[in-house]
Amino acid sequence: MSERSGIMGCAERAVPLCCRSRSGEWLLCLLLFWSSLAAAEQPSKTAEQWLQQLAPALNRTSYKGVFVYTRGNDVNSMRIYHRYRDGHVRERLVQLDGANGEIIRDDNRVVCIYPNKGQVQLDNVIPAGPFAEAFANQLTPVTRWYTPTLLREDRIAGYPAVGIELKAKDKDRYSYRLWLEKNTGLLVRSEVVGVRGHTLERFQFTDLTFTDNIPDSELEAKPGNRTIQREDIRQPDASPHRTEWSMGWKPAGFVAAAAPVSARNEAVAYSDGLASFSVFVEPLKGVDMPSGVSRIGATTAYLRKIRRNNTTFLITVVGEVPPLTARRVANGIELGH
Amino acid sequence: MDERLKEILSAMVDDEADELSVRRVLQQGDVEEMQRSWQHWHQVRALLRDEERPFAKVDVSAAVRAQIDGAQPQRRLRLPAVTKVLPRQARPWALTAMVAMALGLGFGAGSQWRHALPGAADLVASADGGSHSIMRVDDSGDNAASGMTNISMAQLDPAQREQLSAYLLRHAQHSSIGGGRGAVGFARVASISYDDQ
Repeated sequence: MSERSGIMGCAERAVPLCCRSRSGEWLLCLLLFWSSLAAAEQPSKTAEQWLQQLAPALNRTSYKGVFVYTRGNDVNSMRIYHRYRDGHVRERLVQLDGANGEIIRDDNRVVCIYPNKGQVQLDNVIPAGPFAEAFANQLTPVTRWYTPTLLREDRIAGYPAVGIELKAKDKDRYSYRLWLEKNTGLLVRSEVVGVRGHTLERFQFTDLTFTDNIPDSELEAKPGNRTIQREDIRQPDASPHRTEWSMGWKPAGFVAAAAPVSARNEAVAYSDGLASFSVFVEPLKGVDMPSGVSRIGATTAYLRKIRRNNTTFLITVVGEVPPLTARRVANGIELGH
Repeated sequence: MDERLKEILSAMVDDEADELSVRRVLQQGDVEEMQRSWQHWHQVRALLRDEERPFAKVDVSAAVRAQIDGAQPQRRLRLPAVTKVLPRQARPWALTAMVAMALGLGFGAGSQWRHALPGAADLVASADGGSHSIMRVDDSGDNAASGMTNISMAQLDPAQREQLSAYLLRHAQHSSIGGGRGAVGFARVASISYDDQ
């Protein structure tokens, strides 16, 4: 588009000079003909090129709307306000069904507002490791682990969208179908597909407006929610002691993507550019959690307990990966002495 | 649009509204808001049932309005394809009202409702009869023979459920910020977290 504008701009600027002679007119016509031919022959984007837009568009586009998230028979509608301004992301999600909860995000700071318990601020999380830089530079080799195929164009929430199927090349991860809005590349619909082809979860905008005009008031929680102390909310262990652990196995392509700012080393997130999982390694205190696997839509939580030096540790792997993958990751965790 | 109208629209989507209610909706002046609600409900239904929405892009409102006003439309609307695929044997008045409503509001969404794909119901094993559906382990090719113990949310006590929800929420945070997944990560856990808190 910008190239086309550029060509037309040159032609317009050339018109007064060319119009002084007949040969100039012919030259102008020839230039316009060539430029139109060049525009017509410009190949459409490949799936890989569209995927390169995915991550930046999610953060750097300002929009508001309503999306629906479904898994199985569960449906949740959420209103979202997302503003990118001066390099900062502010986001507010409002639950529209059931309890009236909210999630407020200010860059890496996240506050959850529960209808009954008030506000809870989560630990700051920072993108970590080589993955973060690779992701920002659009070098993440997503297509190394997934086979991309362009689907037919569709219309989502009133906008034309490009569909991309990403079929997992191994059974360590799920497949995806993504739809990106054509102008911005914003993800407007996604489906996570299980190994046997069943759709495990869907996310889709039903109402969407691209706008830079999102006032601060729309990014703030509505007044009236009771603010409570963090200690009132049961959190995974907040022990100040650093837990030493190492990962014996992880699926190919997954690299460290994020970690809490705290130095307790209790959690690290890994991603292959599409799927992600988090590993939590913490001393088991207070609540005795069972061992086993729980699945909610595309999300798997695998819990394993290890006893070391008279202390029981709970290893929890949570992510959008098959249960076997989560179990293998959890079983590969080794605690330091 | 008031709550009562929203309820009627919702009932119409389920083909459960009575004739008087449908007439009331048809007499409303705020068509745009009803359009949005109608479309939203149908999109939700389409998502739930994994169905195609072949008429979703067709805006026939102008033709229907012309017909209502007594003018002849440019082309005859092909209704049979719409009516024959409705999943229920709807009462005649309800069917007419539904079609009229769908066309009048300018949406074909929902015109080709069908039940969920065969086998789709197998995806979800009831956990607590409500908001927490636990997927069967065997969907991902790693079946119960793998020896994994399946933890159902319903089997956990409130403290355990709260702890697991906290892990899910923290993962959502990692996923959204570090994994570049935006709002999708939080959408995954929002309802669980809120219901359990």
